[in-house]
Amino acid sequence: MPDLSPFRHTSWGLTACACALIALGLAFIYSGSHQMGKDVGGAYVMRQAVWALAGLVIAGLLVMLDYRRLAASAFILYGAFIALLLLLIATSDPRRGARSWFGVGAFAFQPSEFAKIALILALARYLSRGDMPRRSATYLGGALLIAALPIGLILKEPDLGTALVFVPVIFAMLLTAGARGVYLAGTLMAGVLSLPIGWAFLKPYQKLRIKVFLNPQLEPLRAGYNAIQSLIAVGGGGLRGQGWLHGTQTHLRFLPERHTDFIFCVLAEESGFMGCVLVLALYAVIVLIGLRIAEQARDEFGKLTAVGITVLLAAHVVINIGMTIGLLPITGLPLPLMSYGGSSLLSICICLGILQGIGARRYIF
Amino acid sequence: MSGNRYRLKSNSVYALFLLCFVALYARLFVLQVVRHDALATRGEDLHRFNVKIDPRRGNIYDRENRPLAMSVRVKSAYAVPEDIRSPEETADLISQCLKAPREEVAAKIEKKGRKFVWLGRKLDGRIADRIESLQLDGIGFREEVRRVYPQGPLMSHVIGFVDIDNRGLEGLELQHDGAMRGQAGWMASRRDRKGREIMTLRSSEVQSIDGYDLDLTMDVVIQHIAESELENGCRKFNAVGGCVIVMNPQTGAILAMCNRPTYDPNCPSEYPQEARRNRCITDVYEPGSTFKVVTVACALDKGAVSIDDSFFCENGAFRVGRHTLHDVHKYGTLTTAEIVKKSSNIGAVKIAMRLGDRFLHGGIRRFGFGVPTGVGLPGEVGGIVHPLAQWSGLSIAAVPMGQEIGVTPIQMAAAAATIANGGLAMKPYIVETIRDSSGRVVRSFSPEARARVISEAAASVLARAMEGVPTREGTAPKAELKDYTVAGKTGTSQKVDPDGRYSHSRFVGSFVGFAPARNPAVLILVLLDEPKPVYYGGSVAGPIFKEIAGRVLKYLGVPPDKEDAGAIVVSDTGRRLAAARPVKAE
Repeated sequence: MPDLSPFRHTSWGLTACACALIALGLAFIYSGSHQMGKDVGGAYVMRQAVWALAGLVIAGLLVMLDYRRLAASAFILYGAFIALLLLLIATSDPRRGARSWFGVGAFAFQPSEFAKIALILALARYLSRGDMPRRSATYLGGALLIAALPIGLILKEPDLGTALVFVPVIFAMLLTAGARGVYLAGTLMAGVLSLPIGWAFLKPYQKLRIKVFLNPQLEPLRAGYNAIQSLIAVGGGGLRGQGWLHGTQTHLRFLPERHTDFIFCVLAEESGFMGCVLVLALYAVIVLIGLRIAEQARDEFGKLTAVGITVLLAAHVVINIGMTIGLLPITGLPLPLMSYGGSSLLSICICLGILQGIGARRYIF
Repeated sequence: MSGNRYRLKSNSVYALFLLCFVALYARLFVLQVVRHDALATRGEDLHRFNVKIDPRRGNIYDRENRPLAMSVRVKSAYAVPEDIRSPEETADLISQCLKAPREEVAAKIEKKGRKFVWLGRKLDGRIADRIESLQLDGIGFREEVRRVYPQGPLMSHVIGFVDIDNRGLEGLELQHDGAMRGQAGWMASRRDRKGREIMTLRSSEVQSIDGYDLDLTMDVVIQHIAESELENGCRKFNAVGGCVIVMNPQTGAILAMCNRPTYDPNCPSEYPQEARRNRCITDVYEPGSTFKVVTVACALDKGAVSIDDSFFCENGAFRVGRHTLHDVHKYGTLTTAEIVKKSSNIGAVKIAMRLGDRFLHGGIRRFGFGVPTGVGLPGEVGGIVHPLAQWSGLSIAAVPMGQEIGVTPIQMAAAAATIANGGLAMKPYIVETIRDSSGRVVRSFSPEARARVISEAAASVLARAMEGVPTREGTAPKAELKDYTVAGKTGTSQKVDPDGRYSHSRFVGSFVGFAPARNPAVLILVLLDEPKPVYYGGSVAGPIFKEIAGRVLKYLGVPPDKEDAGAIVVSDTGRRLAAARPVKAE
């Protein structure tokens, strides 16, 4: 008989918010895809629902698993995902451009989604070791080194969005671990200063995305198209929205990637400002609960992992929504729990399962 | 690590995310509440557009409700050049579908800054479907109405044709354009990203009103008979052109009107302009001897001569001023009836001299020469009748035999119809009724007697005299019918050369006649332009008249009036026609 006691101390608020977001996601995936060519919206919703159920089961298992056992295998997981990313780069066909997934039968498996978790666990493991002075440069340097490897590989895929998500995650974890503020600021400065050098390494389409972000009217029908169309969709939603299945930008197919990266636009257009407020509030509750779990975690590995996971989630939300409403350049980043996509949903469920597991064990001291 | 320290750092993480979420909320508020109207309008501009709904242009039907001109809904393809994502590929595919040169298509879709370029108007259904199935960006379709003429070249000169925007350019299409055009309607609709209309989101704003239909007096079968006989005749006598008019002399209703050369109104631009001219109403010719019936009619009506009066025909040469008149055959003394029968020039001039130029001129005008008949077709001309003041001393020797005067075939037919029906000038007409799409009659045209031109007695004795023309002693033995009596008159006139002199090689041969002579059901005018080598009206136009008249009378079921004729089944049509009586003139 498995030990079900950890569930007593999990945050039901967190579970409720996550389930609500998944349910809303299903509704708007249906809206965003139900007119698409031969694929009826129902097919997308069914697949996503299956993933959601699988995610809930996995999250449940992770709640029961003592997270300290994850600490023990953190570096092994880390190594395994580095290997997977290397394999992906080795097998990808340079002529076909960006590729960030493996085809497994009918499913596409995106290792970078799971590599995020592996990196957070590895970093938490490294940062929580007690044998190094926290304020030393070596401590910080080692952490950056651990982070640099997967980030570099993901950039090579190339997947700029996913790589960028790590920046706030790593900084939050370092800050929490007690790294010296001056060093952190210095690293940040160095990063900012190296941006012009980084520019030279960007792919032409990535440069274009940034140029278009700065001036959406640059190419209104090509590169700037998505940005403009998503603004029109969000703005067209108004206060109350145009109603579910009645968003004109969505159903006249002006919106790109309606059921995946731009699902928030569908929501914004069809449920308006009121719907957006609700959804953002749900995310905010999850983030706040996550941060509280971090505060209350009984050990440092738990605390750091919880911070990493919470910030990862929050960063996804902020970057994805930010891009759909023209605050950030367009990057291919899913909206956690709502965007269509098995890898993303499963990885977020794993994250939340680990987070709940940490929270559930806060009293074991 | 102190708890306080963690709290501080944790607080800065809190603060950072609070900041981010506040930024998201603020931005959403700006977009969805503050800028909502502007962005919503921008979205509306993207998807909303107005669709013009073309009305159905009215159809044209013949006497028996057979369609002559119809409207079919078809698709036209257009490009929005700035929406085309891959011009190269699009040009390849479109040029394949349209079977048009690639460069031509490429030039159209690469017009930068243009919002709209037609790629192909009124396409074949299959071609349109093929292009549509490609689902190309920036390629759209618009429903339009295409005019089709199921009878092809038949009646083309009367029906006319329309331009690509369905505006009437010729014939009845032009004359009744306003009635047939109808009224366009408007609909608001939405289009998707690829510019394809979402039909389910159409909302009706202004209904279109279909155009009115026309019912003609004309008959496809009679027209076909006339056209094929004219065609044979033109070929046989090497004529450069020709006209046939078939009308009901009692009512003025035109049953057939044809011209050679002709054209197909489905593709008018493929024919030279002269082929599209309705010579029956636009071409003025010197009628020659056919005009003698007008002269004689006026003289009989005025009582200047009687049908049995004798005239000495000067044995073929008659000097008037410095000019000598000739007859084809030398005649001594002829009666008025014989002058008509033999077509003596000298006799006709002597009759006119008896009448006097004032009455001759007045009579000619009363017959309707010099003004358009008002048959109801665009481009009709009035011909040339010089005012009396401009007549020279020689005019009295020229006009009576159809020289120094210009008439149109329709005028000549109408004048002969006056003699055929007992002296009434019936206004020729082609359109019987104008109906709306539900069949309600909007306007109808009934036979209209313009005036009484000559007395019934004068008309009937002249018609009797004209019965002598299609006989062995007359000028048109080849116009004689086996089953019906025919009254008619031949005409052969010289065309005028560029130097202003009468040509000795270019002639117009014509015949105008009606049958059955005593109660005419049809009047037929046949005219051949420059027949060679034979050119006498009786020889070239006479046989064509005979063929047409014989077939048309049988088709109409007119009972034969010759005693030796075989029994003929009388159809309803025939009875109706025989019963048709002219409306009395006031």
